Amino acid sequence: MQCLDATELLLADERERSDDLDQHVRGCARCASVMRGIGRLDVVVHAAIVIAPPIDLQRDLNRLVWDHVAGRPWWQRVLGWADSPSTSPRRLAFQGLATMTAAVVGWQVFGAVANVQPVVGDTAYALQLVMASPASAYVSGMHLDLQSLGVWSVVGLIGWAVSDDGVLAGRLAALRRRLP
Amino acid sequence: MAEPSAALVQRAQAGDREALAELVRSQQSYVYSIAMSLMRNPADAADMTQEAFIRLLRSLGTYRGETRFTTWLYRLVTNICLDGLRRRGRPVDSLDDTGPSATDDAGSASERLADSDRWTQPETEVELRESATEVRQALERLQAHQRLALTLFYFDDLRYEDIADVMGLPLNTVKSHIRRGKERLAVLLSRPAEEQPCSA
Repeated sequence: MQCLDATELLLADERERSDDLDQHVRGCARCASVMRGIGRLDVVVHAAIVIAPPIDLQRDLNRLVWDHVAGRPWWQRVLGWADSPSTSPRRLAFQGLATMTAAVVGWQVFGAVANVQPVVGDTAYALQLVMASPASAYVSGMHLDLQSLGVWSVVGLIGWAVSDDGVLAGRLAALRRRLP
Repeated sequence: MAEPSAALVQRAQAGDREALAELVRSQQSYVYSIAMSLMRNPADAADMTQEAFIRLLRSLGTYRGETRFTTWLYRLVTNICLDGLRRRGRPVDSLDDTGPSATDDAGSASERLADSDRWTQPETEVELRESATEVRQALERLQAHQRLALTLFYFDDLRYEDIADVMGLPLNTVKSHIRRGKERLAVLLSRPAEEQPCSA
């Protein structure tokens, strides 16, 4: 291998180095020096090549993300939740509220609790106690009507509106960022 | 590491705000660096960076994972910057320009061998201009295709194949750009003997 070829290979890329090249560099002081020089150039340029954007640009990019998420239609955000579990406390609270709402509505619609036949341990007795409680008596006394369905739906909608991705929270956050 | 995880990209595609913010945060320096290498002006680079991320947020759903995410994103940024240069009426250097020019040091083989002798001089080994400003000034003096190729080359974990994909050039052309770019940088960053501090 000639020095010119060795220099070309050294300039090309470390990863392409061959045994021939290594052997040549070991026996050639000139090419060993070239290799050190190129290595030093790599270190110097690598340290300077990535430029952090200015702070105001970073702030604008952050705002871009907020506005993008706030501007998405509600059904896309709801669908997005299914694929993106989050540990946000407000979101978890809303998800819990929504689950409870769905359970209560389902309870009323199908009367499932009345048909439960527990078979394990004291579960039956525990359920009897629950069923005998004033709250259960009230809830089981409710009939499926538009009024109760509407009330629970409104509760769910309010929970969603004030959640991280809800209409109110998104609008308020966007307004707060625009204020001086 | 520039390449975001597949899980992060999927969460961002699903509209998870934290994932989107993390994705933008992890890529903003790289995107801005590419914009700077092509626009050579902080204000224009900032505009192009913003435009690139607006486009990213709009088209993230179309990313199907056929290529690496960074390759896909950097290609997007490169195209936006080239369009931006055209809109501003500024000259757009062809990225596949492989011919020698007045500013390029791609001379004959013997000239290049003599040129590489700069590395063998003991005094130049310790007298490489090393400040970030000097390196960036030297980069600005390279041709656009060399500058972009080198910028991408020095990003973490970007391979020659990825760079060729981003620039839309054959692999060997990219290797040539990087090799010539390094040679030119070595010339530009070598401190002349008269500038060395006197040890007496």
